[in-house]
Amino acid sequence: MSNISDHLKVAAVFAESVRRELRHLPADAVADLTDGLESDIASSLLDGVKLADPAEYATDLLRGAGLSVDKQSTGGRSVVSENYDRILAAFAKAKTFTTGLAPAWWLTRAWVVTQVLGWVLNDSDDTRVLVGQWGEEKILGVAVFIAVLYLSVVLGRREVKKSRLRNVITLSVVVAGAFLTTGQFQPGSNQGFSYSASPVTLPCGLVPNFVGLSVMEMKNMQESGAVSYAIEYYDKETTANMTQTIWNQPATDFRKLIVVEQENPSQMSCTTPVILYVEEGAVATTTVPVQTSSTIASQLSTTTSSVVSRVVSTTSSVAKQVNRTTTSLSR
Amino acid sequence: MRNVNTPQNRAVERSQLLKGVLDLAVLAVVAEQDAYGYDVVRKLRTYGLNDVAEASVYGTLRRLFSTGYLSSYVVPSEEGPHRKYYGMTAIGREWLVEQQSQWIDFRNVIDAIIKNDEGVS
Repeated sequence: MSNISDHLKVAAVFAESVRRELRHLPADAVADLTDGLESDIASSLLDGVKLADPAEYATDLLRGAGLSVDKQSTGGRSVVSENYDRILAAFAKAKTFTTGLAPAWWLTRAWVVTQVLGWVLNDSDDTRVLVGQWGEEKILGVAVFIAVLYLSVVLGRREVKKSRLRNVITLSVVVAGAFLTTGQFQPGSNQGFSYSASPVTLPCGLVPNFVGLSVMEMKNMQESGAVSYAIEYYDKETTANMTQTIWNQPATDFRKLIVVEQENPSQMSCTTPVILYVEEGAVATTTVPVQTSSTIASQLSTTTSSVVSRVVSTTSSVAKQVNRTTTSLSR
Repeated sequence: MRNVNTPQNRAVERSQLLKGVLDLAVLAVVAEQDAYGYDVVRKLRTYGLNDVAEASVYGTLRRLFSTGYLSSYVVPSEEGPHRKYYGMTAIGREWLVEQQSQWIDFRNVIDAIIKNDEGVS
Protein backbone atom coordinates (compact mmCIF):
# COMPACT_ATOMS: atom_id res chain seq x y z
CA MET A 1 0.00 0.00 0.00
CA SER A 2 1.51 3.26 -1.01
CA ASN A 3 -0.82 6.10 -0.12
CA ILE A 4 -3.69 7.23 2.05
CA SER A 5 -6.22 6.57 -0.70
CA ASP A 6 -5.23 2.89 -0.88
CA HIS A 7 -5.41 2.61 2.90
CA LEU A 8 -8.84 4.20 2.92
CA LYS A 9 -10.11 1.73 0.36
CA VAL A 10 -8.81 -1.23 2.34
CA ALA A 11 -10.16 0.29 5.55
CA ALA A 12 -13.61 0.78 3.99
CA VAL A 13 -13.76 -2.83 2.82
CA PHE A 14 -12.55 -4.14 6.17
CA ALA A 15 -15.02 -1.97 8.11
CA GLU A 16 -17.83 -3.33 5.97
CA SER A 17 -16.70 -6.88 6.72
CA VAL A 18 -16.78 -6.07 10.43
CA ARG A 19 -20.29 -4.60 10.07
CA ARG A 20 -21.41 -7.80 8.36
CA GLU A 21 -20.11 -9.74 11.35
CA LEU A 22 -22.27 -7.53 13.55
CA ARG A 23 -25.42 -7.78 11.45
CA HIS A 24 -27.24 -9.73 14.15
CA LEU A 25 -27.34 -6.49 16.14
CA PRO A 26 -29.86 -3.68 15.61
CA ALA A 27 -28.72 -1.24 12.92
CA ASP A 28 -28.32 1.65 15.37
CA ALA A 29 -26.09 -0.46 17.62
CA VAL A 30 -23.89 -1.39 14.66
CA ALA A 31 -23.75 2.25 13.60
CA ASP A 32 -22.78 3.29 17.11
CA LEU A 33 -20.10 0.61 17.42
CA THR A 34 -18.50 1.25 14.06
CA ASP A 35 -18.81 5.00 13.69
CA GLY A 36 -15.41 6.37 12.71
CA LEU A 37 -13.99 2.88 12.27
CA GLU A 38 -12.73 3.53 8.74
CA SER A 39 -10.46 6.36 9.82
CA ASP A 40 -9.11 4.38 12.79
CA ILE A 41 -8.38 1.36 10.58
CA ALA A 42 -6.76 3.56 7.94
CA SER A 43 -4.53 5.11 10.61
CA SER A 44 -3.44 1.70 11.86
CA LEU A 45 -2.68 0.64 8.29
CA LEU A 46 -0.52 3.72 7.89
CA ASP A 47 1.42 2.55 10.96
CA GLY A 48 1.98 -0.79 9.25
CA VAL A 49 -0.42 -2.75 11.46
CA LYS A 50 -1.78 -5.88 9.82
CA LEU A 51 -5.53 -6.31 9.82
CA ALA A 52 -7.03 -9.05 11.94
CA ASP A 53 -9.78 -11.43 10.94
CA PRO A 54 -13.03 -9.38 10.71
CA ALA A 55 -14.91 -11.91 12.85
CA GLU A 56 -12.26 -11.77 15.57
CA TYR A 57 -12.18 -7.99 15.30
CA ALA A 58 -15.97 -7.81 15.71
CA THR A 59 -15.78 -10.08 18.76
CA ASP A 60 -13.14 -7.84 20.37
CA LEU A 61 -15.29 -4.83 19.60
CA LEU A 62 -18.30 -6.42 21.27
CA ARG A 63 -16.33 -7.58 24.31
CA GLY A 64 -14.76 -4.15 24.72
CA ALA A 65 -18.20 -2.56 24.54
CA GLY A 66 -19.50 -4.99 27.14
CA LEU A 67 -21.96 -6.61 24.73
CA SER A 68 -22.69 -10.28 24.35
CA VAL A 69 -20.75 -12.02 21.60
CA ASP A 70 -23.50 -14.65 21.31
CA LYS A 71 -25.16 -13.96 17.98
CA GLN A 72 -28.39 -15.64 19.06
CA SER A 73 -28.96 -13.46 22.09
CA THR A 74 -28.13 -9.96 20.94
CA GLY A 75 -31.60 -9.01 19.79
CA GLY A 76 -32.53 -6.48 17.14
CA ARG A 77 -32.54 -8.10 13.74
CA SER A 78 -32.09 -11.41 15.51
CA VAL A 79 -33.84 -14.66 14.96
CA VAL A 80 -37.08 -13.40 13.41
CA SER A 81 -35.33 -11.43 10.71
CA GLU A 82 -32.83 -14.19 9.96
CA ASN A 83 -35.63 -16.75 9.75
CA TYR A 84 -37.48 -14.44 7.38
CA ASP A 85 -34.39 -14.30 5.15
CA ARG A 86 -34.12 -18.09 5.28
CA ILE A 87 -37.78 -18.49 4.28
CA LEU A 88 -37.31 -16.09 1.36
CA ALA A 89 -34.22 -17.98 0.23
CA ALA A 90 -35.99 -21.35 0.52
CA PHE A 91 -38.98 -20.00 -1.38
CA ALA A 92 -36.75 -18.68 -4.16
CA LYS A 93 -34.95 -22.03 -4.31
CA ALA A 94 -38.22 -23.95 -4.47
CA LYS A 95 -39.54 -21.63 -7.15
CA THR A 96 -36.43 -22.11 -9.27
CA PHE A 97 -36.72 -25.86 -8.83
CA THR A 98 -40.39 -26.01 -9.79
CA THR A 99 -39.82 -23.67 -12.74
CA GLY A 100 -37.15 -26.06 -13.93
CA LEU A 101 -39.65 -28.91 -13.77
CA ALA A 102 -42.15 -27.15 -16.06
CA PRO A 103 -41.04 -28.84 -19.34
CA ALA A 104 -41.35 -32.25 -17.66
CA TRP A 105 -44.89 -31.32 -16.64
CA TRP A 106 -45.74 -30.20 -20.22
CA LEU A 107 -44.49 -33.53 -21.57
CA THR A 108 -46.33 -35.57 -18.96
CA ARG A 109 -49.68 -33.88 -19.48
CA ALA A 110 -49.33 -34.26 -23.28
CA TRP A 111 -48.72 -37.95 -22.85
CA VAL A 112 -51.66 -38.38 -20.46
CA VAL A 113 -54.03 -36.44 -22.79
CA THR A 114 -52.90 -38.57 -25.75
CA GLN A 115 -53.60 -41.76 -23.82
CA VAL A 116 -56.99 -40.54 -22.63
CA LEU A 117 -57.92 -39.55 -26.21
CA GLY A 118 -56.85 -42.99 -27.41
CA TRP A 119 -58.96 -44.63 -24.74
CA VAL A 120 -62.02 -42.50 -25.66
CA LEU A 121 -61.70 -42.75 -29.45
CA ASN A 122 -60.87 -46.45 -29.67
CA ASP A 123 -62.84 -49.39 -28.46
CA SER A 124 -62.56 -49.64 -24.78
CA ASP A 125 -60.48 -52.55 -23.66
CA ASP A 126 -60.35 -53.02 -19.93
CA THR A 127 -57.54 -55.53 -20.20
CA ARG A 128 -55.16 -52.88 -21.49
CA VAL A 129 -53.55 -50.42 -19.19
CA LEU A 130 -53.59 -46.76 -20.10
CA VAL A 131 -50.25 -47.01 -21.89
CA GLY A 132 -50.76 -47.81 -25.55
CA GLN A 133 -54.44 -46.89 -25.75
CA TRP A 134 -54.08 -46.27 -29.50
CA GLY A 135 -53.73 -50.02 -30.06
CA GLU A 136 -52.94 -50.85 -33.65
CA GLU A 137 -53.03 -47.20 -34.71
CA LYS A 138 -49.68 -46.40 -33.20
CA ILE A 139 -48.63 -43.96 -35.94
CA LEU A 140 -51.81 -41.98 -35.45
CA GLY A 141 -51.16 -42.08 -31.70
CA VAL A 142 -47.67 -40.65 -32.20
CA ALA A 143 -49.05 -37.88 -34.46
CA VAL A 144 -51.71 -37.00 -31.90
CA PHE A 145 -49.07 -37.03 -29.16
CA ILE A 146 -46.86 -34.59 -31.13
CA ALA A 147 -49.82 -32.27 -31.72
CA VAL A 148 -50.89 -32.37 -28.08
CA LEU A 149 -47.30 -31.85 -26.95
CA TYR A 150 -47.07 -28.76 -29.17
CA LEU A 151 -50.26 -27.36 -27.62
CA SER A 152 -49.03 -28.23 -24.14
CA VAL A 153 -45.75 -26.36 -24.67
CA VAL A 154 -47.49 -23.30 -26.15
CA LEU A 155 -49.92 -23.26 -23.23
CA GLY A 156 -47.08 -23.70 -20.75
CA ARG A 157 -45.09 -20.81 -22.20
CA ARG A 158 -48.12 -18.57 -22.01
CA GLU A 159 -48.48 -19.46 -18.35
CA VAL A 160 -44.83 -18.58 -17.72
CA LYS A 161 -45.21 -15.28 -19.56
CA LYS A 162 -48.34 -14.45 -17.61
CA SER A 163 -46.60 -15.36 -14.39
CA ARG A 164 -43.58 -13.17 -15.19
CA LEU A 165 -45.74 -10.29 -16.29
CA ARG A 166 -47.87 -10.67 -13.18
CA ASN A 167 -44.74 -10.54 -11.02
CA VAL A 168 -43.46 -7.44 -12.78
CA ILE A 169 -46.80 -5.68 -12.52
CA THR A 170 -47.10 -6.54 -8.84
CA LEU A 171 -43.60 -5.31 -8.12
CA SER A 172 -44.12 -2.13 -10.12
CA VAL A 173 -47.31 -1.33 -8.23
CA VAL A 174 -45.62 -2.02 -4.91
CA VAL A 175 -42.57 0.11 -5.69
CA ALA A 176 -44.59 2.96 -7.16
CA GLY A 177 -46.94 2.73 -4.19
CA ALA A 178 -44.00 2.88 -1.81
CA PHE A 179 -42.95 6.22 -3.26
CA LEU A 180 -46.44 7.59 -3.68
CA THR A 181 -47.52 6.88 -0.12
CA THR A 182 -44.67 8.64 1.62
CA GLY A 183 -46.80 11.70 2.16
CA GLN A 184 -45.84 13.27 -1.13
CA PHE A 185 -49.13 12.07 -2.66
CA GLN A 186 -52.44 11.24 -1.10
CA PRO A 187 -55.14 8.86 -2.25
CA GLY A 188 -57.77 10.66 -4.24
CA SER A 189 -55.73 13.78 -4.86
CA ASN A 190 -55.88 15.24 -8.34
CA GLN A 191 -52.44 14.15 -9.41
CA GLY A 192 -53.63 11.72 -12.04
CA PHE A 193 -52.20 8.74 -10.19
CA SER A 194 -54.06 5.80 -8.80
CA TYR A 195 -52.49 3.19 -6.62
CA SER A 196 -53.21 0.63 -3.97
CA ALA A 197 -53.43 1.98 -0.44
CA SER A 198 -52.30 -1.36 0.98
CA PRO A 199 -49.12 -1.50 3.09
CA VAL A 200 -46.11 -0.98 0.88
CA THR A 201 -43.10 -1.04 3.13
CA LEU A 202 -41.35 -4.23 2.15
CA PRO A 203 -37.91 -5.48 3.03
CA CYS A 204 -36.96 -5.54 -0.61
CA GLY A 205 -38.02 -4.03 -3.89
CA LEU A 206 -37.23 -3.01 -7.42
CA VAL A 207 -34.50 -0.39 -7.30
CA PRO A 208 -35.06 2.73 -9.38
CA ASN A 209 -32.19 4.78 -10.76
CA PHE A 210 -31.27 7.39 -8.14
CA VAL A 211 -28.50 9.07 -10.14
CA GLY A 212 -28.91 12.83 -10.09
CA LEU A 213 -30.68 13.01 -6.75
CA SER A 214 -29.01 14.75 -3.84
CA VAL A 215 -28.13 12.81 -0.72
CA MET A 216 -30.52 15.09 1.15
CA GLU A 217 -33.38 13.80 -1.01
CA MET A 218 -32.23 10.23 -0.60
CA LYS A 219 -32.03 10.58 3.16
CA ASN A 220 -35.50 12.12 3.31
CA MET A 221 -36.87 9.18 1.35
CA GLN A 222 -35.14 6.68 3.60
CA GLU A 223 -36.34 8.38 6.76
CA SER A 224 -39.90 8.53 5.46
CA GLY A 225 -39.81 4.80 4.69
CA ALA A 226 -40.20 5.23 0.93
CA VAL A 227 -36.94 3.35 0.42
CA SER A 228 -36.97 0.42 2.73
CA TYR A 229 -33.95 -1.48 1.47
CA ALA A 230 -30.44 -0.78 2.70
CA ILE A 231 -28.47 1.91 0.91
CA GLU A 232 -24.77 2.50 1.24
CA TYR A 233 -23.10 5.71 0.18
CA TYR A 234 -19.53 5.87 -1.03
CA ASP A 235 -17.41 8.85 -1.96
CA LYS A 236 -16.96 8.65 -5.72
CA GLU A 237 -13.39 9.89 -5.53
CA THR A 238 -12.00 8.13 -2.47
CA THR A 239 -14.54 5.25 -2.33
CA ALA A 240 -14.75 5.89 1.40
CA ASN A 241 -17.94 4.63 2.96
CA MET A 242 -20.00 7.67 3.96
CA THR A 243 -23.09 5.85 5.16
CA GLN A 244 -22.52 6.49 8.85
CA THR A 245 -21.56 10.11 8.32
CA ILE A 246 -24.69 10.71 6.34
CA TRP A 247 -26.89 9.08 8.96
CA ASN A 248 -25.31 10.98 11.80
CA GLN A 249 -25.77 14.43 10.30
CA PRO A 250 -28.90 16.36 9.25
CA ALA A 251 -30.17 15.76 5.72
CA THR A 252 -29.81 19.43 4.87
CA ASP A 253 -26.02 19.12 5.24
CA PHE A 254 -25.96 17.07 2.07
CA ARG A 255 -27.70 19.30 -0.45
CA LYS A 256 -24.53 19.57 -2.49
CA LEU A 257 -23.74 15.89 -2.39
CA ILE A 258 -25.17 14.28 -5.53
CA VAL A 259 -25.58 10.63 -6.49
CA VAL A 260 -23.40 10.27 -9.58
CA GLU A 261 -23.26 6.51 -9.96
CA GLN A 262 -25.31 3.54 -8.88
CA GLU A 263 -24.66 -0.16 -8.89
CA ASN A 264 -27.46 -2.39 -10.15
CA PRO A 265 -30.36 -0.03 -10.86
CA SER A 266 -33.54 -1.81 -11.99
CA GLN A 267 -32.57 -4.88 -9.97
CA MET A 268 -34.25 -6.52 -7.04
CA SER A 269 -32.76 -5.67 -3.68
CA CYS A 270 -33.58 -7.88 -0.72
CA THR A 271 -30.51 -8.57 1.32
CA THR A 272 -27.87 -6.82 -0.77
CA PRO A 273 -27.54 -3.10 -0.11
CA VAL A 274 -27.88 -0.63 -2.96
CA ILE A 275 -24.51 1.02 -3.59
CA LEU A 276 -24.52 4.73 -4.46
CA TYR A 277 -21.46 6.81 -5.30
CA VAL A 278 -21.70 10.47 -4.44
CA GLU A 279 -19.73 13.62 -5.05
CA GLU A 280 -20.08 17.35 -4.59
CA GLY A 281 -22.27 18.95 -7.25
CA ALA A 282 -24.67 21.80 -7.78
CA VAL A 283 -26.94 22.73 -4.89
CA ALA A 284 -30.13 20.70 -5.00
CA THR A 285 -33.10 22.96 -5.45
CA THR A 286 -35.67 20.58 -4.06
CA THR A 287 -37.30 20.98 -0.71
CA VAL A 288 -38.46 18.51 1.85
CA PRO A 289 -42.08 17.69 1.00
CA VAL A 290 -44.67 18.83 3.50
CA GLN A 291 -46.89 15.94 4.45
CA THR A 292 -50.28 17.57 4.75
CA SER A 293 -53.07 16.66 2.41
CA SER A 294 -54.22 20.25 1.97
CA THR A 295 -50.90 21.34 0.51
CA ILE A 296 -50.15 18.29 -1.58
CA ALA A 297 -51.09 19.80 -4.93
CA SER A 298 -49.11 22.99 -4.46
CA GLN A 299 -46.09 21.33 -2.93
CA LEU A 300 -45.53 18.66 -5.50
CA SER A 301 -41.78 18.93 -5.40
CA THR A 302 -39.11 18.24 -7.92
CA THR A 303 -38.01 15.43 -5.67
CA THR A 304 -41.32 13.67 -6.06
CA SER A 305 -41.40 14.21 -9.78
CA SER A 306 -37.91 12.96 -10.33
CA VAL A 307 -38.37 9.93 -8.13
CA VAL A 308 -41.70 9.04 -9.69
CA SER A 309 -40.32 9.53 -13.17
CA ARG A 310 -37.47 7.24 -12.28
CA VAL A 311 -39.86 4.63 -10.92
CA VAL A 312 -41.98 4.89 -14.03
CA SER A 313 -38.87 4.75 -16.17
CA THR A 314 -37.61 1.71 -14.29
CA THR A 315 -40.98 0.04 -14.51
CA SER A 316 -41.28 0.68 -18.20
CA SER A 317 -37.74 -0.52 -18.87
CA VAL A 318 -38.46 -3.70 -16.97
CA ALA A 319 -41.73 -4.10 -18.86
CA LYS A 320 -39.84 -3.65 -22.13
CA GLN A 321 -37.34 -6.26 -21.04
CA VAL A 322 -40.18 -8.66 -20.23
CA ASN A 323 -41.73 -7.97 -23.61
CA ARG A 324 -38.45 -8.76 -25.31
CA THR A 325 -38.13 -11.94 -23.28
CA THR A 326 -41.66 -13.07 -24.02
CA THR A 327 -41.24 -12.27 -27.72
CA SER A 328 -38.08 -14.34 -27.89
CA LEU A 329 -39.86 -17.16 -26.05
CA SER A 330 -42.71 -17.10 -28.53
CA ARG A 331 -40.30 -17.50 -31.43
CA MET B 1 5.72 -31.64 32.51
CA ARG B 2 3.96 -29.23 30.14
CA ASN B 3 5.71 -25.92 29.57
CA VAL B 4 3.26 -23.19 30.55
CA ASN B 5 5.72 -20.35 30.10
CA THR B 6 5.23 -20.00 26.34
CA PRO B 7 4.88 -16.60 24.62
CA GLN B 8 1.24 -17.47 23.84
CA ASN B 9 0.47 -18.22 27.46
CA ARG B 10 2.20 -15.05 28.59
CA ALA B 11 0.14 -13.05 26.09
CA VAL B 12 -3.07 -14.63 27.41
CA GLU B 13 -2.05 -13.88 31.01
CA ARG B 14 -1.25 -10.28 30.13
CA SER B 15 -4.57 -9.87 28.35
CA GLN B 16 -6.37 -11.25 31.41
CA LEU B 17 -4.56 -8.74 33.61
CA LEU B 18 -5.29 -5.96 31.15
CA LYS B 19 -9.01 -6.66 31.08
CA GLY B 20 -9.46 -5.40 34.62
CA VAL B 21 -7.62 -2.16 34.07
CA LEU B 22 -8.25 -1.27 30.41
CA ASP B 23 -11.03 1.16 31.36
CA LEU B 24 -8.64 2.96 33.70
CA ALA B 25 -5.82 3.01 31.12
CA VAL B 26 -8.08 4.32 28.35
CA LEU B 27 -9.57 7.00 30.57
CA ALA B 28 -6.12 8.09 31.72
CA VAL B 29 -4.95 8.46 28.12
CA VAL B 30 -8.02 10.47 27.09
CA ALA B 31 -7.64 12.61 30.25
CA GLU B 32 -4.24 13.75 28.94
CA GLN B 33 -5.72 14.99 25.68
CA ASP B 34 -8.79 14.38 23.53
CA ALA B 35 -8.10 11.51 21.16
CA TYR B 36 -9.65 9.36 18.44
CA GLY B 37 -9.74 5.57 18.63
CA TYR B 38 -6.46 4.66 17.04
CA ASP B 39 -4.76 7.59 18.77
CA VAL B 40 -5.64 5.96 22.10
CA VAL B 41 -4.31 2.60 20.88
CA ARG B 42 -1.07 4.21 19.75
CA LYS B 43 -0.54 5.93 23.11
CA LEU B 44 -1.26 2.74 25.04
CA ARG B 45 1.35 0.95 22.91
CA THR B 46 3.81 3.77 23.51
CA TYR B 47 3.42 3.12 27.23
CA GLY B 48 4.22 -0.56 26.67
CA LEU B 49 0.82 -2.21 26.18
CA ASN B 50 1.89 -3.59 22.82
CA ASP B 51 -0.52 -6.50 22.74
CA VAL B 52 -3.68 -4.50 23.37
CA ALA B 53 -6.28 -5.34 20.71
CA GLU B 54 -7.38 -2.30 18.74
CA ALA B 55 -11.01 -3.35 18.59
CA SER B 56 -11.10 -3.91 22.36
CA VAL B 57 -10.03 -0.31 22.85
CA TYR B 58 -12.64 0.96 20.40
CA GLY B 59 -15.33 -1.06 22.17
CA THR B 60 -14.14 0.24 25.52
CA LEU B 61 -14.33 3.82 24.26
CA ARG B 62 -17.93 3.26 23.12
CA ARG B 63 -18.86 1.78 26.48
CA LEU B 64 -17.22 4.57 28.46
CA PHE B 65 -19.05 7.04 26.23
CA SER B 66 -22.39 5.32 26.81
CA THR B 67 -21.84 5.33 30.58
CA GLY B 68 -21.22 9.06 30.45
CA TYR B 69 -17.51 9.09 31.36
CA LEU B 70 -16.52 10.27 27.90
CA SER B 71 -17.98 12.72 25.43
CA SER B 72 -17.47 12.44 21.70
CA TYR B 73 -17.43 14.68 18.67
CA VAL B 74 -16.80 14.21 15.00
CA VAL B 75 -14.03 15.98 13.13
CA PRO B 76 -14.51 15.93 9.34
CA SER B 77 -11.52 15.05 7.24
CA GLU B 78 -10.79 16.28 3.73
CA GLU B 79 -8.78 13.18 2.97
CA GLY B 80 -11.41 10.63 3.86
CA PRO B 81 -13.90 9.55 6.49
CA HIS B 82 -14.46 11.61 9.61
CA ARG B 83 -12.65 10.97 12.87
CA LYS B 84 -14.55 10.38 16.09
CA TYR B 85 -12.78 12.07 18.98
CA TYR B 86 -13.35 11.35 22.65
CA GLY B 87 -12.93 13.73 25.57
CA MET B 88 -13.43 13.50 29.32
CA THR B 89 -16.64 14.52 31.06
CA ALA B 90 -16.75 15.85 34.62
CA ILE B 91 -18.19 12.58 35.87
CA GLY B 92 -15.47 10.73 33.96
CA ARG B 93 -12.74 12.72 35.70
CA GLU B 94 -14.28 11.97 39.11
CA TRP B 95 -14.44 8.29 38.28
CA LEU B 96 -10.83 8.34 37.02
CA VAL B 97 -9.58 9.85 40.28
CA GLU B 98 -11.48 7.22 42.24
CA GLN B 99 -10.14 4.41 40.06
CA GLN B 100 -6.58 5.70 40.30
CA SER B 101 -6.83 5.64 44.06
CA GLN B 102 -8.25 2.11 44.05
CA TRP B 103 -5.55 0.93 41.68
CA ILE B 104 -2.75 2.32 43.83
CA ASP B 105 -4.20 0.60 46.92
CA PHE B 106 -4.59 -2.63 44.99
CA ARG B 107 -1.09 -2.40 43.52
CA ASN B 108 0.43 -1.81 46.98
CA VAL B 109 -1.33 -4.89 48.32
CA ILE B 110 -0.15 -7.05 45.42
CA ASP B 111 3.37 -5.60 45.67
CA ALA B 112 3.49 -6.47 49.34
CA ILE B 113 2.31 -10.03 48.64
CA ILE B 114 4.80 -10.52 45.82
CA LYS B 115 7.72 -9.16 47.85
CA ASN B 116 6.79 -11.37 50.78
CA ASP B 117 6.59 -14.35 48.42
CA GLU B 118 10.04 -13.52 47.00
CA GLY B 119 11.44 -13.49 50.56
CA VAL B 120 9.98 -16.94 51.26
CA SER B 121 11.40 -18.50 48.13
